[in-house]
Amino acid sequence: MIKVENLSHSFFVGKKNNRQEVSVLKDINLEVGEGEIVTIVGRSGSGKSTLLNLMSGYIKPTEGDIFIADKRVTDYKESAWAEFRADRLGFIFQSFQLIPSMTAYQNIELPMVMKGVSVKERKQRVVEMLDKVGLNDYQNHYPSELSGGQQQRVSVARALIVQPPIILADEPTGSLDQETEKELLDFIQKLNREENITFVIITHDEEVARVADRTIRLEDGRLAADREVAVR
Amino acid sequence: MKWKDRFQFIRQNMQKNKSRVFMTILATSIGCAFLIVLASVGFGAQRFIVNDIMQDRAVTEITVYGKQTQEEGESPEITKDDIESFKSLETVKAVSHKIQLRTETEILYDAYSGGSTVSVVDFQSEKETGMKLSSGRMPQSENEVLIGYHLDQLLYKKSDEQTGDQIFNQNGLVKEEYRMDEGLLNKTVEIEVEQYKGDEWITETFPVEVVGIMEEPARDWQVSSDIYISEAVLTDIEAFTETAYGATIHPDMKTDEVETLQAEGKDRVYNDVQVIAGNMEQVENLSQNLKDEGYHIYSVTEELDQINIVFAVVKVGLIIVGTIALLIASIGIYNTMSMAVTERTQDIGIMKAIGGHPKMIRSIFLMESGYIGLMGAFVGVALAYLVSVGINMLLPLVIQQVFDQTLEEAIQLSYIPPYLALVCVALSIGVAMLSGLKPARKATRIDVLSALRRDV
Ligand SMILES: Nc1ncnc2c1ncn2[C@@H]1O[C@H](COP(=O)(O)OP(=O)(O)O)[C@@H](O)[C@H]1O
Ligand SMILES: [Mg+2]
Repeated sequence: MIKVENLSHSFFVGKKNNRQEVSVLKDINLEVGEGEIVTIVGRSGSGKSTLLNLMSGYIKPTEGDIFIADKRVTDYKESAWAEFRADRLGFIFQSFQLIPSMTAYQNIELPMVMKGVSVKERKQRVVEMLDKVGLNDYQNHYPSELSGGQQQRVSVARALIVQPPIILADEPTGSLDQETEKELLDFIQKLNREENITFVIITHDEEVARVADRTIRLEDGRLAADREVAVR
Repeated sequence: MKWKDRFQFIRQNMQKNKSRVFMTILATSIGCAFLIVLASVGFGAQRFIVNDIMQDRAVTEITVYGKQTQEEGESPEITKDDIESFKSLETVKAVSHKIQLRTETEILYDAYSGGSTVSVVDFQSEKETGMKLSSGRMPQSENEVLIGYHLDQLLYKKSDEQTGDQIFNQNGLVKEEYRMDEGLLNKTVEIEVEQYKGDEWITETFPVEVVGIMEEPARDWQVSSDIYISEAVLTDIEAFTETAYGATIHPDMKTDEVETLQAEGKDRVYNDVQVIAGNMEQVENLSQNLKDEGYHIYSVTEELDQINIVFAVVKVGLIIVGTIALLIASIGIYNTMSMAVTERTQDIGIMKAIGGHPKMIRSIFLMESGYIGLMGAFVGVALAYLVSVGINMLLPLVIQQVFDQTLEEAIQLSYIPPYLALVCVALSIGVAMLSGLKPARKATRIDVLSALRRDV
């Protein structure tokens, strides 16, 4: 489903005459199969987010190739990425990234609004989704009126609403307490089993890694270990 | 993204900062109203002048002065053949033509007398061209004539005591106390013609019957002292003068000059030839046809063309000045949109992160600024109509105050044709979208990661 080949990435920091190249990812090769849950772990600053941002198209790699769903997305222009994201990818962020001026309902609806889905279908799917994530009673709440767990459920609902085959999540449980974290992880597992959605999850939390089919460890921008989890 | 959803989205966004949006719309509408009112004065003045021109002259009239001689021996003057050829043209309704008597004449009635201009007209043609009488009827027999509206006010008793100043008032008419106290309708008047014959001046009179009085001229300063006679009377006069068109021979004229005067007139030539087109639309084509055939002509359309060119320039000038006001308003729109983009950086970042297309984001912001332009234009148009009505209402009062004069007719100084309002709406939306262009582009260029990190 996702294939990363010889991927390297460097940031350039400093002003013009004092520019420094900071190599963050070095020669990464990895593959994520369809229906897999893969977690990426590693110390802070090891390059996990950078790797995910490259897969999301938020930044362009210095070297190497990325294939998602058999498409070479490495050279995609911004508009191509936009369409690709809208069709194939769902995103969950550590800080939820909900639009504060929109209600839970509107936030969940947003991807469909942007895609031009009909009002009728939108309504039906949002209602279904609200049910699925258990936010029926909170649909008219604004993000500021929801708890962290509820907000994260809204953002999960938003990621799922256009039924993408892949979901990319950067520390999705990072802002949640243990109880809510467990709920979310159960939900992720359920989605993976029932709808065969592929997950790439960044975490530095062993709990999260436990739901994974595979855990990839990054150390100083290099792939350190690719460990299959035997027991699910 | 559906259009309906975009509008919904924009509405929601604008609601977040109502007062700012309102102020920007207000500025735009003032700019718009200023532009419209300024231009409306140009339109009003143009309409006033054009109406003024159209008022007293039949707009379907084409005056033919003569023609360029093309073949040798052909006269530059309009002859019977020319008149006939005009009449045969399809779009010509009628042809009015005159022959002017080439001598000074006096009109006599009782003891009263006065000067007049005598012309031969074809009464049938005049009827076709729509000549109107203030009283009486059109002549039917040869010695029946029409007289100008003012003729009876131009006759007075000759005496040595009074000078012209005492007799005539400032309008050039005889003062009431010297006027005759009855009209000339259905009276027999005499046309007095002088000619130098042998060695002395001989006077002859030709009695004619007044059966109709022409309409009052449209302009109140015009004095109509015409007498329209039939060709038969002219023939009588010519028989007496022994010259064509009754031309006067002066004692100091050379023999050959006298001979030309006598020889002329076998082929009548006409003055004041007016070709009347069937309707206003045909005038332009007909004018061109006549020009192409080598006639010197004049029609109101020519004058209108020129006036319209002048006013087109004036209006463009006014619109440019007005547009400056709109441009100033556009700075406000630019500001508002820039702030809106900055405020919504996070939202835009989130939208882009989950698949929002840059084009869609740009279009939303362009629509938003266009919407400000549209609303500003609507309010501005309404405002402009109010101001326009106000100007038109106040103008007569101001004129009365300042010049101590009341206007006979209502002058519409400010006139807003519907298309001016439409042009302004389009201009306003255009200018607004133009000033929204840069902020919109800034929105599409927002970096997803910096926006999500909230460090912009
Ligand atoms: N935009 C950037 N410019 C420069 N350096 C960056 C940028 N983003 C990340 N880095 C650097 O890249 C390294 C890896 O960052 P990141 O991928 O966020 O690590 P992780 O998510 O594993 O904590 C860090 O050293 C960080 O300072
Ligand atoms: Mg990170």
